[in-house]
Amino acid sequence: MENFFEIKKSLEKKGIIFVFNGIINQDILIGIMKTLEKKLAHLNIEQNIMYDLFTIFVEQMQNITNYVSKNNDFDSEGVVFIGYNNSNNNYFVVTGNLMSKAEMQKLKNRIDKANSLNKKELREYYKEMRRDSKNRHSKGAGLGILEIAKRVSKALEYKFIDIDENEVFYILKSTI
Amino acid sequence: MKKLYIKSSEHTPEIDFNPEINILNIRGASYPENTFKFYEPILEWLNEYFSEIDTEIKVIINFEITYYNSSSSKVLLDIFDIFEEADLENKQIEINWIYNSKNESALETGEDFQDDFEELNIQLIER
Repeated sequence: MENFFEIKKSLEKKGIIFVFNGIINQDILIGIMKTLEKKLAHLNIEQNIMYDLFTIFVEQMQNITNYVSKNNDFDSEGVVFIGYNNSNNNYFVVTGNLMSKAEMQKLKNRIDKANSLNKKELREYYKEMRRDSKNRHSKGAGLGILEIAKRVSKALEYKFIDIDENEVFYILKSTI
Repeated sequence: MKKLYIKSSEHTPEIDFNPEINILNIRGASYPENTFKFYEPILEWLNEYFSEIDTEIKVIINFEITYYNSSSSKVLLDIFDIFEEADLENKQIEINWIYNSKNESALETGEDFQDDFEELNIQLIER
């Protein structure tokens, strides 16, 4: 039993203020958002940061639900952390989920591209991409990563961990 | 033309389109799972409304979006396309993009629509 306590302590040491692991769907996202709105109001977080945090959180969660629903009929699973880094005075959102190795390179390129642009270039590129993907009504279409990148205070961090020959575990960290 | 009213939910904005006074309001957060399903009847209503009204009528549109997901952002572009089309037909449209002074991203979103739709009359209003 003390293991669970150790897990909790280690999360707190890393500044994690919210964690969720398991099935992620829209109902769960809505429930978490309601809770977060209350919790963040309680923490006196600056409103500017709060709106950006909400946007990024929604985008990262829906990346997981959209990705999995596109690929099978089951509810998607993933892990999400929201934390606060005391020494840098910033918030971060980390999500992790399984994905097909075949799609890894495409995603990696998107994130690298977003990281290579400054804020002004990002806004222009975002508008261009939005116009491009408009008539397809595809979920995401690469806009999600840009929606996040526009709001972060440092480059997006990511990692793909090999699971087997077909799948990787994808972790994305956004710092606000 | 009938009024279009959709109550807000946690993940969808309030839609309050009143053709009697020609004021259309969209207020709240927008991150539905299936964005197009939510916005489809709204786009249909707007298309019909703007095809019916004549050029004497002045239409006021108030947007007050707190935060949104990227697929809502795409649909907002579709909505602005409808306004642009109506504007080309010399219909009078005044768009107010209302943002919270403590929400810089909402201001930027409004500015980006101004850039994309230079012909449209879009006012950024700090609340």
